[in-house]
Amino acid sequence: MPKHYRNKKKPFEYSKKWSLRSVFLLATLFLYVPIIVLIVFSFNNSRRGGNVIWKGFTTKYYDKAFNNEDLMLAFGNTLTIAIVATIASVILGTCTAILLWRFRFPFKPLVEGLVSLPIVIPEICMGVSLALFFSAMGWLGNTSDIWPFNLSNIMIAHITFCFPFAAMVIRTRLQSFNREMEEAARDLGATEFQVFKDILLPHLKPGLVAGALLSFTLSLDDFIVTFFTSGPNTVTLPVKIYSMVRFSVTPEINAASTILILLTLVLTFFALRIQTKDDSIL
Amino acid sequence: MSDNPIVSIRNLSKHFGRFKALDDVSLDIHAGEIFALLGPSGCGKSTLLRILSGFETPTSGDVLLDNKDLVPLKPNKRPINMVFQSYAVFPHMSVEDNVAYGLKMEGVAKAEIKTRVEEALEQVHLAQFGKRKPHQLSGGQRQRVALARVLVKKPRLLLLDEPLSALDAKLRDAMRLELVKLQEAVGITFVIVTHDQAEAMAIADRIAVLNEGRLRQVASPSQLYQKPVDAFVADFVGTIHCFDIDSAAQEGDAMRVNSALLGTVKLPSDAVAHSFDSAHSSSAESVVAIRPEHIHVAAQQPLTADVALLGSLGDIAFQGQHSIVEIMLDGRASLTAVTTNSDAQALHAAGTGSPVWAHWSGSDMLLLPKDAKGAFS
Repeated sequence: MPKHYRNKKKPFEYSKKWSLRSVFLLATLFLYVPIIVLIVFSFNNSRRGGNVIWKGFTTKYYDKAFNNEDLMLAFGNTLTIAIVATIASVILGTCTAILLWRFRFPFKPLVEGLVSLPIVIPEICMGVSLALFFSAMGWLGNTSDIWPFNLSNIMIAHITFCFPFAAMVIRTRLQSFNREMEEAARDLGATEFQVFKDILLPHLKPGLVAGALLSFTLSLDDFIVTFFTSGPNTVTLPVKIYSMVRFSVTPEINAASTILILLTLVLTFFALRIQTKDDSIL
Repeated sequence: MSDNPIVSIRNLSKHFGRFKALDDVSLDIHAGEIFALLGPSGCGKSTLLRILSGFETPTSGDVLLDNKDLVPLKPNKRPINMVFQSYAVFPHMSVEDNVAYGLKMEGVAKAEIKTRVEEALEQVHLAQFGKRKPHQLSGGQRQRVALARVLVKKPRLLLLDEPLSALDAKLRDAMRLELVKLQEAVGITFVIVTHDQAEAMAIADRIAVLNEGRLRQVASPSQLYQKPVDAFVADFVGTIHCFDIDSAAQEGDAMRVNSALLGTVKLPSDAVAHSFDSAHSSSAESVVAIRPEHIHVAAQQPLTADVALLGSLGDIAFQGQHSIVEIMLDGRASLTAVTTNSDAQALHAAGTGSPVWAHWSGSDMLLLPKDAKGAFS
């Protein structure tokens, strides 16, 4: 007679334990319920956004948000800053990563440390130091400057904290580059620049996409550093939302936040798609 | 073989700090031959290859290609191409684009690129795989892509860095033959770097043996095996048993050698390496040596043998076509002998540990310096 064993859980089948399942569920709820509530109540037909009583469905706060000129200006500023900061961070990050990967020079560990310093420095300190720096330079988002040059100091501030992240991601990608590939291209007649363009850049592409995505999202929702470096006419979306909250919390803020969330989600989705497609090649 | 070498290497040295990767190497490579650079790892063979391809600059010495100085030319300006050990196939390009890359860099017209790429892929039997990406190919196929990629450029010289080391045994044997056939078909001079003596012997027309940055010998495979210049080369290109000598002296046509283990043996003059001279006749400088295939094994003491040693039977290893018999010599050392399978079976019947005689003829022996300074070809 064959023996029958009770269906015992195998190792690593944690998802089958109800205790662990409930912990997982609670953690997920804790993380995402506030965001879902935020989105849901952007459609609430109530005058107060903080009001958690459902008063019927409306999209009027989206209309209001889109017609709020200050809010839209802030939104435009945010996007402009994020795009400029992303492009600059990826270019600077790539250069830094290649420098640190390829060359040996005196005080290299020191340079490596300095590059990653903005990652570890408390953001508030960076904000204060940048604010002091720009005011000492007399470079405070002049109203007289034409757009987008009035945003230049915020852009510079964003680049300083975005590019170390880009450099880090790109450098990690560089580690997996086979130097023989570079030599093979040289051997086949390519110049240094052609090697970079034809061989190194295609290899780096997933790293560049990841670095760009990271920089873009960091810049998009940055509050502290922007708060310290923005002038009255150079408000970004996070700063604007903050000032609106200080007056009164209306569902309009929920709507503006929802738009921001949607934007990052769409971007992340496309970036991840590009990356997974590229990884299949390697 | 033509007398005019395609590549002339003169007194080439490459130092990395205090380490001498190459030390005063001079050799010629002839047009149309397969030339192997053979040596243990760290012997300088890869450095020599990288100097030829332009990725290293020599510390001193000259490298001439068709009598023109090669050293100042950058790697992308040399009519020399290389198949890398890792193949270095570009993963983001299709097989076709990989093969076309070198021609594109040359600025060859598109129509010509197309026909030449097709031709090259045909040569390496990859005509059907042009549109594939490298990750859809096997290791052997990737190597063919790397080969096609350099053949299509019709270089003066083709360098191959350990071309067969990453392939499995069966594929390696097939690829050996194919490389030789390919070389005959295209007529390009091949320079192959390898640490595998069997591979070098099987493929190359001539072999240069390097050790510790110095050139030990340049010779054809058979010459290298039968007339090694010193004990290092003899040992590196195949198994050989060496015995220390006490003295060696010319006696008429022959050489009289005294050895503690072997006694007095007379060697005919052609058994004496031509690198051997009176300076090597002291005991510390030279050895007498015998290859396993020249050692006979017998249960009874042979009546006529120049050298006969009594030992006990050790392990017998069946190799397929032949067997290898181990003979333990009095705790001091062991010998291996190559025998027929039937002889090995007869010995096996006698049992391990039974007394056996290893014997051979003096004319099969070699008198070799331990280390021949300088190069002999």
